[in-house]
Amino acid sequence: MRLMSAFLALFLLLDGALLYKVQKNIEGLNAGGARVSELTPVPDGAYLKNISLGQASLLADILWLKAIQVIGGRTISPQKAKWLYSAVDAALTLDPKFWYMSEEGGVFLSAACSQYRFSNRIFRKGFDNNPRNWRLPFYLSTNYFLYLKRYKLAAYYMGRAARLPGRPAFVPLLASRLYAQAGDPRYGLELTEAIYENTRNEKIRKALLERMKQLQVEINLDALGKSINTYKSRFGRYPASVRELLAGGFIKAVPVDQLGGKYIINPVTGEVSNTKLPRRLMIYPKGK
Amino acid sequence: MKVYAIAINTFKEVIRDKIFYSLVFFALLLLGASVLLSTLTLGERSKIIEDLSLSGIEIFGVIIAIFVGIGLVGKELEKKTIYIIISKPIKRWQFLLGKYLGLSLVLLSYISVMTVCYMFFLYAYTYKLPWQTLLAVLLIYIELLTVTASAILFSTFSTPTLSASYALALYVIGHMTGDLRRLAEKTGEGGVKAVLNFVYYFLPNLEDFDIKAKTVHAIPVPADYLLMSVSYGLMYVTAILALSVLIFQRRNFK
Repeated sequence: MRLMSAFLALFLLLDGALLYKVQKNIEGLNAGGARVSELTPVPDGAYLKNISLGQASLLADILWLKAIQVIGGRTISPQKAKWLYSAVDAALTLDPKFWYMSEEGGVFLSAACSQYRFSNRIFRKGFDNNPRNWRLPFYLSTNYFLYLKRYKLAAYYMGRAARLPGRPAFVPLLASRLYAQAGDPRYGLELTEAIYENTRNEKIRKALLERMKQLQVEINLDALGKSINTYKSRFGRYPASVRELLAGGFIKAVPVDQLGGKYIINPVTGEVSNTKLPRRLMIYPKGK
Repeated sequence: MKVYAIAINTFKEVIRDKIFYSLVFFALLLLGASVLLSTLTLGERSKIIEDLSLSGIEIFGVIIAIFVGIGLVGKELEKKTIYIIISKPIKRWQFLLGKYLGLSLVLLSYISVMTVCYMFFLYAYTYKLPWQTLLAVLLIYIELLTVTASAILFSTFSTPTLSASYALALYVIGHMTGDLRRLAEKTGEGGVKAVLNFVYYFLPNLEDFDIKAKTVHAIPVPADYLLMSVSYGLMYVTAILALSVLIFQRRNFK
């Protein structure tokens, strides 16, 4: 009997070790491939609500916890951003009053994924169900102002945020200046700083910090563009480099690039660009 | 008095049951896990704990109601102890009602213990005591009473395994009756619509008892809604129990 017990104990120990090894191997075989759970489209929220057996709120939490894992990931591919949108959208259908998801999900889709339309849909859905929350129209407004260049809509939503309870004192001030300063990157930076101050999630704050650096580069590009135009009007040609602008006294110093890139001027077209910012964040339409 | 004696006896019997203990253990484990899971999110930690705890209390309550409920009558039949009981001056309705009240008492103790633990965990981790979620717990209890009654109904004419399946199916359907309503609306006029509407009102509408999300978000629940839901649940339970007695009285024990 004792021998039998000892044998069984030994067997269990060996079997346990073997199971661990096999599981490790399976993990090794799975590594490298796309993780299905992250990329599988999330079914429509209304459908999920029907089959949730009264646990819709719990399902929303589960989806949100999965979404947070994606937000915390290192890289955000367009596929992941799309998944994130569908997850947060479904979670908001399951639990419409969970405005926190709308806020964090929307800011992340905009600041880190540059998916402004997805982000807007998330904000708008959250705002429809939480019409007393000032943050959601505030974020909507910044998306319209900064990225989508719909200044009237931006002003409209900032105005709505300004009228809601609990909004900080700066919101009405922003609302009053928004329309007048349409397209000004300095104002964009100010708005992003305001979002940064109101965001708690560290991952999203990091993305916003990066965005603020990009906006600083935008401000520099804007200022350089103006100097280049002055240069052209005096010499009849575009400068070949930033140094030329500096030598001519058109700028006081070469702007510090927070992204670590360089400012390059195209001597033929006079366009100025930054090596670390291949696409301009703010496109300035001719008629502001 | 006889009903009371059977109820107390049933209560003691279930409380000593190993299945009951293991289910309570897992339910408590889930409450603990909710605290762990809530650390994954930033902000709104209390919401995750509240959602998971309330859902856990409900789901494990339903499992207890069904699996213990079907055994109440089923076991007596299986072990032939029913002969001893019905040979005594006890009416069959008293037996059934006693069994039902006994399990209702067990569920009341279960839900009380779980709620105290849930509130304790929540207070320990978030320093919040959302009293309004107790209203959700109240309606969960009413839902459990309905599920228990259905488990007893099925066990009066079917085997324990089949009764469990039926009761579980009724629970699932009870949460999806909204679909029947929508289907009836789409069908337009005619016999099909009338049938669908009849089925919709005939089946228990368990979604009526779900105010978890509302209470978690601190949205006020109107008093008349609460009153109506509780009345609906108790009236439904009375109807199911009446039907159970009707079937049980005609049953021939051989």
